[in-house]
Amino acid sequence: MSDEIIYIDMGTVSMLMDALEDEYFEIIEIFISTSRERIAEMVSKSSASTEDLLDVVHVLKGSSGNVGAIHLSNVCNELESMLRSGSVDGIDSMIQDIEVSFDVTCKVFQEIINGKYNA
Amino acid sequence: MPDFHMADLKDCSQARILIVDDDLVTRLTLEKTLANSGYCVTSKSNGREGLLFSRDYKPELVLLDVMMPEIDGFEICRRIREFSSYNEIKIIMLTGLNDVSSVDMAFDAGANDFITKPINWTLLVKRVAHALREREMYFKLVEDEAKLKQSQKIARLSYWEYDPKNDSITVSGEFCKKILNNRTVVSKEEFYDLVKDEDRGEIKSAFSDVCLNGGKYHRDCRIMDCSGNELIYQHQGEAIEDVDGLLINIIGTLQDITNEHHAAALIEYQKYYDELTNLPNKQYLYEELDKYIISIKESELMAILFVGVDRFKLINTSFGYKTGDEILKLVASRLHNVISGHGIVSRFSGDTFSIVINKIQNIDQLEAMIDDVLSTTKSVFEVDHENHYLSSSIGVVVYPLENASSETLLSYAEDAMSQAKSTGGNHYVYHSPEMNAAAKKNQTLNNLLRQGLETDRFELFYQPQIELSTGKCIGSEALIRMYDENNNIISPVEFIPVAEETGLIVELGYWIIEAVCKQINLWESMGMHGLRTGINLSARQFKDKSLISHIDRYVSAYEIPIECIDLEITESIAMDNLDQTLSVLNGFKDLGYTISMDDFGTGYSSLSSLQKMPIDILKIDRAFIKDIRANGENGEIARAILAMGRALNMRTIAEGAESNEHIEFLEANQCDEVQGFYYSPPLKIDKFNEFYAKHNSDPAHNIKTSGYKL
Repeated sequence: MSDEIIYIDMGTVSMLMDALEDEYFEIIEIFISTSRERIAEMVSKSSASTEDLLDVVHVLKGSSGNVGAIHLSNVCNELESMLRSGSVDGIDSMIQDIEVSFDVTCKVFQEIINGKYNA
Repeated sequence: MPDFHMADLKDCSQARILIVDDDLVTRLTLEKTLANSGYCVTSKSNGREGLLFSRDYKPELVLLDVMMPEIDGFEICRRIREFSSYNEIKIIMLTGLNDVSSVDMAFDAGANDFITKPINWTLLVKRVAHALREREMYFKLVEDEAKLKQSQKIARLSYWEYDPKNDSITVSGEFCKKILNNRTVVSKEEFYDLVKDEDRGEIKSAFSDVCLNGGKYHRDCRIMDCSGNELIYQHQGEAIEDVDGLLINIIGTLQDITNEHHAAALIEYQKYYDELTNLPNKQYLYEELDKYIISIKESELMAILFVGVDRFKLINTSFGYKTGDEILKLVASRLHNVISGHGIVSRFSGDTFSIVINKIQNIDQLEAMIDDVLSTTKSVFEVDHENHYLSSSIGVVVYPLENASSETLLSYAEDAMSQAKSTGGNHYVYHSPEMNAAAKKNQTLNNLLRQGLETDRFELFYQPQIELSTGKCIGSEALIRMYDENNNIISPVEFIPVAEETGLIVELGYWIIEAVCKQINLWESMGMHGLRTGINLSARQFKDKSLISHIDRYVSAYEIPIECIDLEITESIAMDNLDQTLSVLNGFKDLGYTISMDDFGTGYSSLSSLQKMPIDILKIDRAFIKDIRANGENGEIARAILAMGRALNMRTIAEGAESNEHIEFLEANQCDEVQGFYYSPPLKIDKFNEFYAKHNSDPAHNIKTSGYKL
């Protein structure tokens, strides 16, 4: 993964940090834990119905976008579009991409929480 | 069902926001962000709960996620709109950026706004604030409108707007309901026709003027309502013009001011009228008096009477204010009846009334009216079967004999009234001492006249009438004189008008006739045969139908030659009613009386009317004799009258001859007789008899040297 890939939209992060202050970190922790569960659900449902997978990926797209995890949100969006178009090839690979993106996102958020990105 | 957040919501003075999103992270982020901005926030994770909450607690704003399990955001939005208007609950939908069609669907479902995901948080807070402000402004507007409507209703105010393009008028407010039978648009003509005929012209011209020249107008007019009641509207209009001054429209108001108008009319009434007696009040009197003063004619008098009920306080203290008020009402109406048509009666204050009498010809007429006022307040007043006896005191001012402002005149009259009260009441007092003296004199004369007939205060004087051709006294004129208590002579000029006014003239007239008849009888017995004696008849006597029979009775009783009675009437009495004069005079003539026309030349008798009258003697008024100077200068009129008398076969007597020039002129112009100071003033009977004896016993008596010199 290149450094040019932007996982977190720092504009959104700073907006939220301004608005929420310390509560922002709580929300990020909740985001990480719920997203982890959702990704696990996706992995388990990858062979199940498209409908179920679609619901999960839509919510993950939404919540990641809203907290500023734009890379994860974009990958989710690609999968959602794929699922809506009815294509089934490459779903597993997309889910793996989501897992990878999530891991990196988690690390970046962790660094933000640790103060690395604090201004 | 509603959860733990409710306690917060109830107490929250800030706007309440409901978040409905199935994603915990988004929900929490929204919740915290908005709570930190000061809102009361509740969130629900599914559509069903969000809907219930919206219905039960009506939050000001709902943030609604589109994609949710069970019920999606559009459906929730539609259902909220079933119980809440577009402005009551503001709905902002959260949609995906790549999902343009859902934006349309959001608006179709009744959303107020949308926010795309991923959420731009700064923008979100601003969008929420904006939606809430819009909502607040809407309700403020609704409230203001309601307040305005209510105040218009209270003020009975309606609006109208004239559209010149289609010449119609749109009306709003209660005017539509009350006047237009719920119509809101009428033609200009219909609009005019609503106004009462008498007021229409003015409204029409004001409206047209504003149409043409701009500006505004303001008129009160009467308009009939749907039930036929007359209402009074204040009608205002103002032209609205564009930058070039061209008329865009005319807008205006119509305000029902009927009640205010009636109240104003009542206030106006109370300003000028007394509530108890309904008479005009002091204020009215002042204003009318000022008008009278301005418009009074030179020959007229005006009197201001101040009438106070004597000892009125006693009525109030003995019988109570209710009785007192009833009596004042009766006094008011009696005064009104007495004065009716001659002036104004007003209640000045308490038990005082002021009366203005205008167009008075003379003081006698005024005093007769004052006597009426005194006697009307003396008549018994019956209130609640109880009789009350009152009297009044009157103060009198006569304008312009006393010349002052209306206020001063009234205060003079009031002073005079107080004086009347303090001198016993039940009489009148003039403010002016001169008037009081005159009134007192009048009163004395009146008393003297009454007593005079019984106590020999009258005496007849006789002024000789000399025949120029013979120099003999062939007649006389009987002239009445009266004596006062001190035996001073009072001139008939003073007491005859009083006798005329009081009616005593008739009785006095009979006394004179009898006295003359008695005297002729005596003269006859003394050998002074055929002495003709003039008796002046007043206007009142002349109209008295029993006059002939009265004279006849004396003439027969004293057995005197009928032609010796010379009845003198003035030219002005004769000409007053020619038909009546002819009938009365012909009656006398037929019986054989001598008839003279007195003061001839001062009236306006025509030659033709004079010719019809059975006149024996023309007595030329002293004015024409007085003018004659040496050589007969200025004697043209006397000369003409003498010529006319001859032509009509009437004898002529010149009155007021005093000088040689007069006598020479009269002789030269063939005047028959002369009565005047040249020969003699009126004489007491003894002196007259002496005069007679002197002139009639000596045939060679030179008339020109026997003249009586002044």
